[in-house]
Amino acid sequence: MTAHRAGLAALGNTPLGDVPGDVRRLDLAVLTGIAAFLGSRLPEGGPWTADQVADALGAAPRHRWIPGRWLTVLADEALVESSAPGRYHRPRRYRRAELAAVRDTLDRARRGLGYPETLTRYLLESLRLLPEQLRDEVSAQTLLFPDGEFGVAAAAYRDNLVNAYLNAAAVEYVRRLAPGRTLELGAGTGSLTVGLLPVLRGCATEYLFTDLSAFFLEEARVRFGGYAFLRAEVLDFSQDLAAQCGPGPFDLVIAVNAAHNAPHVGELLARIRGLLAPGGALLLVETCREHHQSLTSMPFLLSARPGGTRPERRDTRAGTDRTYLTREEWRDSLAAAGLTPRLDLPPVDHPLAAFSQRLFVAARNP
Amino acid sequence: MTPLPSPARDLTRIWAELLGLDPGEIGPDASFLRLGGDSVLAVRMSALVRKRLGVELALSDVTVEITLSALADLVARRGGDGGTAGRALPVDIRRRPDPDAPFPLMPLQQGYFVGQHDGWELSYDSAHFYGDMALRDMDADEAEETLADALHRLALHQPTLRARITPDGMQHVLPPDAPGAIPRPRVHDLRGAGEEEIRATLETVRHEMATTGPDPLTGPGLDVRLTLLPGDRGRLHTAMSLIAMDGWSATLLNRELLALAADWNAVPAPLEVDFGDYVTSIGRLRATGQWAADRDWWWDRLDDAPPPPALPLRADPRDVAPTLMDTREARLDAARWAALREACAAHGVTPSAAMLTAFSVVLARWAGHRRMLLNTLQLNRLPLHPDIHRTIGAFASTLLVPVALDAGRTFAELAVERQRSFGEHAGHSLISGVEVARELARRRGTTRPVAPVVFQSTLGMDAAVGERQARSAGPLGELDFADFYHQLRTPQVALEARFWEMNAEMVFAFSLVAEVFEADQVDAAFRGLVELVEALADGSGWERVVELPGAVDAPRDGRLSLGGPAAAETAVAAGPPRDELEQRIALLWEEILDVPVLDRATSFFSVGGDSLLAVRTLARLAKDVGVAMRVRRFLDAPTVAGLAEAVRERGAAQ
Ligand SMILES: C[S@@+](CC[C@H](N)C(=O)[O-])C[C@H]1O[C@@H](n2cnc3c(N)ncnc32)[C@H](O)[C@@H]1O
Repeated sequence: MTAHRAGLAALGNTPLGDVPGDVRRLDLAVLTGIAAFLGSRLPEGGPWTADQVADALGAAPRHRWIPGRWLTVLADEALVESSAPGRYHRPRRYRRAELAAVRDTLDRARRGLGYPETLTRYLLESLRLLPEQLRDEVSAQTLLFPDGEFGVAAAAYRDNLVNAYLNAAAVEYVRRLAPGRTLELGAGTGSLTVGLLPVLRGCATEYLFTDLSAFFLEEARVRFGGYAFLRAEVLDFSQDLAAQCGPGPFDLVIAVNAAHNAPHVGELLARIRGLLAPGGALLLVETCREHHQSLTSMPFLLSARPGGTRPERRDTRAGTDRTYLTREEWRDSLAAAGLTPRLDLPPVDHPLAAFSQRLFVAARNP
Repeated sequence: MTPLPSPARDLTRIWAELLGLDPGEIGPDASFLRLGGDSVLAVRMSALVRKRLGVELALSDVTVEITLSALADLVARRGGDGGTAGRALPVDIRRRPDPDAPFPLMPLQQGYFVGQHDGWELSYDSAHFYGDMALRDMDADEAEETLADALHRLALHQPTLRARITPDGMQHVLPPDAPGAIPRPRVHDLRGAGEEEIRATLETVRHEMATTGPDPLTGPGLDVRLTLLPGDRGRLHTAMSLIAMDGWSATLLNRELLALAADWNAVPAPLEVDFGDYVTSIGRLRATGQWAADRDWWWDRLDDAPPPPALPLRADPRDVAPTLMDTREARLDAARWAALREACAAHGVTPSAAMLTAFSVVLARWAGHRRMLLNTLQLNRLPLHPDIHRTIGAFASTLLVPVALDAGRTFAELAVERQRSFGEHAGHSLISGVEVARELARRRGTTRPVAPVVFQSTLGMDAAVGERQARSAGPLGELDFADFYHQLRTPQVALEARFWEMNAEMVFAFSLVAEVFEADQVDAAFRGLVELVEALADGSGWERVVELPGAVDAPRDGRLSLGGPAAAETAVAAGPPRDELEQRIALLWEEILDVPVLDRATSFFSVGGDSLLAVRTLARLAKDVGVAMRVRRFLDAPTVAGLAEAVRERGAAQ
């Protein structure tokens, strides 16, 4: 079975025709929520600059860039008016009945995309707490890991149509590859790890589960305790890799929704290539377009650490607010790092492509 | 009371564990961040605090900059003083497979249910709480849709808002899509009205809502209304049936309703268990040894229980038919309430224990004696699940507390003794006070309320629930806590003292049946309470010797007073049932009570009958012999012969 077929099989006979529409509806619902928030908080008059908006919202220094990011997107979607470049009018006010309808649309689209109910709760809660998030009184992590548990993250990264598809496709690929040594970067909640470990049982000699935050490692040690070949360690992939995990070689390197956190993706890919055995593969799951859906959370996670400065991007994203690379940029970067494409899913004309989450596999030539 | 261990030790352990440090390395003033924590670990930390210390922290409490000492303070403040906390319970809570399945009434619900059937002296068509509060800066165009939206979401979140009671005294929850399941607000639009019309309408609405409460037998146990007034002002009216919701729930309901109104995107954290799960689990308590031990503890003491305070009366409670209770109210502002809390802490008593003592002192002076039986409404729930304190339902129970105030003691000494004694009684509260009262009445051979003077306190609830009530309710406007009107109507109660927190102030009130008391005596007693509470807040009231009457027990001198002798019950000649009607009644009792009923002088309550069964028995009798009897009439002579006599009398009248 091809990886694509395996991915589709995981969805059973869920109809997929509405997926693009639901993706769009979910995005617009969240964006409308942001517009309503700004509409209720900004002073009359204007037009305002992004800085003035950040002032009006009392944004903490590290989050001051975020309102500007929103306004750009809102202007693109014609939810705010921009009379001159960089100057924005206050969004209109929304009635309660309209917002109740937004809430219902959001929940219906959420269901259509196979996300569990917690996602609705999470999205609404992150909208409600935008003022507190901006003022740094409530952290995005608090919302993402309520009670320190993984429910929301699991919904966002695993329990939905596209991730069910991508994970099943990835598992199928790895099953056939049968790697001996695997390194996972930014493994976090281990959304793909759970599915991979069982198929690795026969062949694996080592699975190195790494993340920047020790929070996840403790959790992984307990959760994956049954796999003797798994080790969990702190590893910062924006630094030299070999110095942290040894020179390799690894048969498989994995990064699920993590690689874009590197300040320079080209450098990261080059380092990974250096760790790969000949014929070894890099498996990436990446979002290739920032969805409005994530605008109430992602930006906050990308701000500087308290007291620090915001991580600068030095690759093709330099000088922009962009978080993610496009599909083309990933393909180019992989090629530039001397990795040959093996998988690039879902097919661009497939309804699941509307999520813009993709699975890339690229191999080091033997 | 031994001081609570400071939470700092437990917190140090939690931090050490999360940060991989030695407890010794964690200084009180280093921030979580400095010690190597990050924001995800901070979330984990607050989860551990909740699980291990049972303390809920607000989202905004959880910052990486917090120091251990600041956190310890916070945890200590949020800790509350739940009486049953710490006691291991012999049952656990389980989710029922079918959340819509009927479940029995709790004992106090039964009391209210029977009260609604006019079963008691001092009962009303509905037992309910009514309140209305002023709103300012309302967005009148949106207020109605906002309130309807909030109520809708609340009814999805809290199943009790969809609860119904069946005529035979069971309860169940309607699924959200059942017709009428979701309560809707009613709006009185007076924006164009003149002052006189506004005043008259407000009075009508209040009167209507205060005298005809929502009845979960026929609709939702909740009635929510909104008055729109000129100048972007308004009032929010809520009436809640006590059969469906207790006082704790009333506070929760207000908070949650207003939070949902304030924010279209507010989503309350889901509740993992519901009231039906709780009731069903509590039901299993009765089969445990601990429950039997608590029952025996009470049964051993009942014969020594004193009567209620012998407050002078101007009318016999059985002869009055009140429609409303009268209210006296006072407040301690935020600063004095904070001072009172501190003074209580300094004397090692909880604010509730201090207020119970103050109320007892006032009663002793009024009644002229120092030993008396009080009833207390217990709003804290058995901690079977962490979500229980966030659940709306009729969890409340009562606890009888015999009070004996020693002469020549300071207030501080009396309060410490009250707290000790209260704790001792509360420590045996697996059996509900309603059942204890029933047994006491049975032993005394009376069907009159044995403890019609009630104390109720939710002080400490703000801390237990965590976040404070918000001031702003979005398009509904700003709440004006100072402009709050309320009414309580609860059966079998002659006088009830209530203490609660509102907007960081302490409010306390008397609710009473005005028809039985002399108004000037009520005024004087309430004034006495206010003076005492104020003296406790300013610190001067604690070390003074409390002036009390000399008599320990009430001199029953024939004057009309609370708990005085019941009207003589007519004696029934013992023997087998004399006629067909008596035989029929005996058979019906046998069927309902499942015991042989051979003697026509048998009292319903001596062979296992209770008030709920009485309601059922009369319903059956009405069907069988076509005569509808009032419960109260039955309680006057609850024997086979007495009931037959009443049926004949009633039949003749119909
Ligand atoms: C969006 S999460 C995805 C987590 C995980 N792969 C999953 O699918 O559940 C991104 C993860 O990358 C980690 N991360 C971010 N920057 C990192 C870095 N420089 N080095 C290592 N991990 C990093 C974060 O701690 C987080 O766990």
